[in-house]
Amino acid sequence: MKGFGVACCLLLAAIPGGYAERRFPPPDFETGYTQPPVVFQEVRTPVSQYVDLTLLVVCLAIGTWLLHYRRSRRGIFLLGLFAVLYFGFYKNGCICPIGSIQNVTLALLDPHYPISLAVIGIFIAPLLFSLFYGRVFCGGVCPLGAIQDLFLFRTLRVPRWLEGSLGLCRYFYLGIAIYTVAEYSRFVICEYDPFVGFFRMSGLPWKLGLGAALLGIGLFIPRPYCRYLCPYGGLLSLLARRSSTWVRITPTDCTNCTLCDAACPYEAILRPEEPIRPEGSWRFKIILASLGVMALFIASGFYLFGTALSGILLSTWFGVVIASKMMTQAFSNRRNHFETDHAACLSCGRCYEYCPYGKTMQEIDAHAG
Amino acid sequence: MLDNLLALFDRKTTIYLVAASGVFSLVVIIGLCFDGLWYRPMPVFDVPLLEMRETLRKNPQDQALREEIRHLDQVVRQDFITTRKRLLVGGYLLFFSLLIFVLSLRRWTVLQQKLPEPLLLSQLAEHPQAQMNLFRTLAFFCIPLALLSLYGLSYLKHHPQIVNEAGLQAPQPPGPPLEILVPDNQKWPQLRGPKGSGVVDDPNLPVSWDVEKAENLVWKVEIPGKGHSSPVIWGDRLYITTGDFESRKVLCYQRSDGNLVWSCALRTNAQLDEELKEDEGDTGLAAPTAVTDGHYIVAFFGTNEIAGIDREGRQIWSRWFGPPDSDFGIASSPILSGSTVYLQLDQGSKEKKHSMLYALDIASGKPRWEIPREVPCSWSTPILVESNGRSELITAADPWAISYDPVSGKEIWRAKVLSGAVAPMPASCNGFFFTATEYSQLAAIKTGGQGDITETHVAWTMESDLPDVAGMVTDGKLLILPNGTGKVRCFDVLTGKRIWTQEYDNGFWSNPTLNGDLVYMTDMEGTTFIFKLADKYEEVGQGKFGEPVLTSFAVADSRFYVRGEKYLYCLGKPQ
Repeated sequence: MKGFGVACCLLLAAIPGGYAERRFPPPDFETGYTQPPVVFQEVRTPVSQYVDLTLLVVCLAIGTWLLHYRRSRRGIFLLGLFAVLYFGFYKNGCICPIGSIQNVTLALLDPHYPISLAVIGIFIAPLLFSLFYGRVFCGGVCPLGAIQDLFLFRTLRVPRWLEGSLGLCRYFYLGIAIYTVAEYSRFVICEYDPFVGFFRMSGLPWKLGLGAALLGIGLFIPRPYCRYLCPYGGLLSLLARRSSTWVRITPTDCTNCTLCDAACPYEAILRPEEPIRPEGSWRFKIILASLGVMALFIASGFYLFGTALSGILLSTWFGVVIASKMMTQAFSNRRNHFETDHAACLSCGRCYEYCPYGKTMQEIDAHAG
Repeated sequence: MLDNLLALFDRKTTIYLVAASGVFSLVVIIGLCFDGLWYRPMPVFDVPLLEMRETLRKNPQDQALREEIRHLDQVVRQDFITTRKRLLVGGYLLFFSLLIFVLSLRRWTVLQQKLPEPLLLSQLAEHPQAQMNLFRTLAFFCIPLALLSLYGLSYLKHHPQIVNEAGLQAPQPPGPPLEILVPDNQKWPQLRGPKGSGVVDDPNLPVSWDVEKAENLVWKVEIPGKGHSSPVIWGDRLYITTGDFESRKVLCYQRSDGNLVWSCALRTNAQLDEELKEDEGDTGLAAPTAVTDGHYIVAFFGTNEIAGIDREGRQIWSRWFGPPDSDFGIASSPILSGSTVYLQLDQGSKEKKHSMLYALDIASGKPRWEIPREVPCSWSTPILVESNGRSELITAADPWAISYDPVSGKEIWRAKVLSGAVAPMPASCNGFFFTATEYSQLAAIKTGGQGDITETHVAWTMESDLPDVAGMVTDGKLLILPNGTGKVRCFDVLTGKRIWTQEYDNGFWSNPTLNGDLVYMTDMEGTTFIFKLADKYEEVGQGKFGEPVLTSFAVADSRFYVRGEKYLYCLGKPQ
């Protein structure tokens, strides 16, 4: 515990060093000295972008294999370490699928905005893997997730109701990010990326402080950025709900030992439970309340933004997000066994280490896959 | 193999590793902090070197002092480079030691872990209250948060702020950037040149040309877009703007050969009305001419979008002034003084109070000041005048010609001399300010007044054959006034006496240019008439473009740069 306290202090202490910028005025003697032209950083070549895309896809494939076939937590951890070193520190955290949301949005809205196929590929590849294999990208390929994973010390359980509400912030952030791209051509996800300063070993103090704070929170509440803020994680969650292969808890062999539940730091194991308030009148009231909230947000959009379509759409999106969350309460089902929450599971593989039927599950997954 | 490797790190070894890497990291951090706190960047630049430089400026012959400064400069630079290296090495040491620290700490936590206690099944069923808490959280947290976010964004929407394109801006040194040094004869930073007067003195400029016969034509290139803005020049770069409903662009050309270097399409938060697509107004959407100081190009468009672009074609900032509200479109060009861009944006009727005068920082777009104007829409570009030891920013609109202090934006004087649609750019010289517009009058106003000077400072007026678009040009003695019907008149500046009148077949919208004693004036069909500015009209030559030309000439290095309807021309005598 104290060790982690020291780690936090060290990280915070590193901030001034990271921020230190030294500028030097050019000599101004009248010696005929010609000022060299200002040199800007070279734009990355398309080849470099395609190399990144290839590596991303290879990492996703390896992650899928490690998760669903090898069922190796250690392998996923090492993959995460590679992601931090290569996609994080070596590539300076850019371009990443999270930020590519903005590139793709701007390209869709502005036909003059140049976007390479590699960037589109970087945006799409994790989504496709998520659709078929769950959130493999979050598990071991995302440098932002992996760096938070490194700092996990002791898990504090977040109540499910709070987890559900905080998780909506991802979708708010996604909406705001798309809105600001559309309205201001601003890339707020990149501007407020809390970890890029660490990857580049330089950055504004508040940004490094934000990253340090998230890592500090992450000591006890695992991956706070991924669970409550990451807009791309929100998209991956939506697709992972329909994934054809995922981290499974077998209903036939499950002894309800609860070890997987205790091992999962992300509240991604759903416990057996009775459906809440099955009465029809309650269901009706919840649906009505959801529709009311949606109407409130649509009206707010018109009130606040007038006839500006982007603002009204953003407000509607907020309404849809909150109303959808409310409606899920009206349709909760009975569960007799432990199940994986496809949307919340970050594919870290921690539960494998504890499940007494791990090998059996491996065979079942291989068969299902 | 990994298991064997991990087996080496048992609990005891791991604790040692944690402690060693932690202490090492701490030492490096302390060293870096100490270095950062102790080391004052460039201390001698703070006072001693600056003072020595100042002394040297006063006494440039002091060789000993010059050598001392050089020596000191070299010492400081070496120290700077050494410190940079030390920081870099320290950074890498810190990175690797922290990495070892984090990994060993993680290994230690794994070794510390105990198997979780199984939960009793009776503990599993969640209390229904927990689900109700979801609603409470939604009600007290999510919905207020979402509404607050919406309010924040709508506030931004309705209060257009400067939008910095984070990530696109190259790092700039603190303070104003160094001027990109180019000879004065290679600067044409704004509409009608450095002083906005259209006056140049270059005896090597051609006095005739014929584009179709390639006479005195250096190059011509087709412009990929529409617009009536004029070129601006800094060094080897030439900039023009184009615009339509789909996109507004700044184009950068190599001045020597006309090759397109880059084009930058604006990205702003403008919400354009579809009506603009059908009717761009008489001016089109790219009538205002850009300004440049070499580092930045600031372009303003008929959509009320303004943007700062660096010389590499990257947009640095942008701003939208809301939907345009002008009868014939937007035509007033920004002008530049130092690092301040002035924009006269007169819109709507007087009652709507939409008209504003802005002073913006060229590098960031941040307003230095902005003041409302009690005038309806106008199309005129302001001018900066040095008068009685003070600078004045003078604007022309219906009904007031108003002078402002360029630093504070405070009004200095105003004169009620105009009416109707005011578009011609004013002119100034020898303590006089000239403004005119069709169906109103030409007024010569003595500058240097205070308050309402309508009754006291208007030297003379004239009320016939006035210009609707074209501006004036003067050498301080004579004033040339072209108009839209093809009539050109010459006046005595001091008395307002008409000296001569010359009639042409076509009207003039282009601003005239004065080179020495020669006036260059291009009609709407693309013929330039070159005549002497003298007591008697005497034509010296003609230039033919073969297409309509409505823009003003830019001059650099004994060459004219002219934008026609379709082509951009470079005209000059054969080298």
